[in-house]
Amino acid sequence: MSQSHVNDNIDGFSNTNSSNDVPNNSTTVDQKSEILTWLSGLEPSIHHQDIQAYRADGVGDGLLQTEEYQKWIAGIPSRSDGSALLFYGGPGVGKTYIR
Amino acid sequence: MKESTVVGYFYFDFAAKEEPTPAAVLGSVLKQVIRGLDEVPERIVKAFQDRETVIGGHSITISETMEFLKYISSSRCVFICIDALDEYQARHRAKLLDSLNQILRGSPGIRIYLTGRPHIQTEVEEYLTGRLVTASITPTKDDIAAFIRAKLREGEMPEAMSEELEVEVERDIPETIPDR
Repeated sequence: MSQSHVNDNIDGFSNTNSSNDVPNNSTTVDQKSEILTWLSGLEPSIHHQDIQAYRADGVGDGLLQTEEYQKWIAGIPSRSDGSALLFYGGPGVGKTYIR
Repeated sequence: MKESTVVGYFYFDFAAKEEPTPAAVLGSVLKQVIRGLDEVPERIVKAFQDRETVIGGHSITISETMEFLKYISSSRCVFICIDALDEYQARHRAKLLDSLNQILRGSPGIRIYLTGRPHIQTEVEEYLTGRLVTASITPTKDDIAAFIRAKLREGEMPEAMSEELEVEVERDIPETIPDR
């Protein structure tokens, strides 16, 4: 019991110490959100959540097995340096909804 | 070994009320990337603080965004995903593609994923020469079958369709898809 109490104190002490080590310009949660707003007022994450919600399981999984995708994700050069991948297709084929 | 992967993304949409500028799109990508980090890198905090000293502040520029992405990509795997490039105004799209090419030139570790309708292919190739791999998306029989199954399951009135019809729909519609 007393052992655990001592440990708590040590933890408390070291926590205090480490927070003193953090420079004054360290970001708070508020500042982080202010910075994010400064970077852009656009919020694609809302749209992203909608897309996720309407995605059907198992559709388009084959694309992730294609040689083009596998090489790109692994960073293996093929016909080019392989840093960019374009999947193209007509309207409604499911480009937006690939997992 | 890089510690982790961070992703920045953007979806273009014809229906969007305002066309964002390329700088705003890239700023938004950077925002997603930074959300994936435990802490905002100090140089970005500094840029933010400096901007506060200017009256009215200023929005982030493309070159600032590029510099920050480059810095982050030195310690992380950075992926940039942009959906429906064809739904972005041609004038802006050219600038965006040019910027993406510059990002790849400056930060070889960054990887970019794009989608769009077929007519966009030549234009994207033009800007990302030597970097781009392209592939066509065509739904397979399996994709269509999985999609129909999922949609039938989530129907609001499952009893409205007889089981026979359901079986028929699940069996016959995928058969109309030609084999690849």
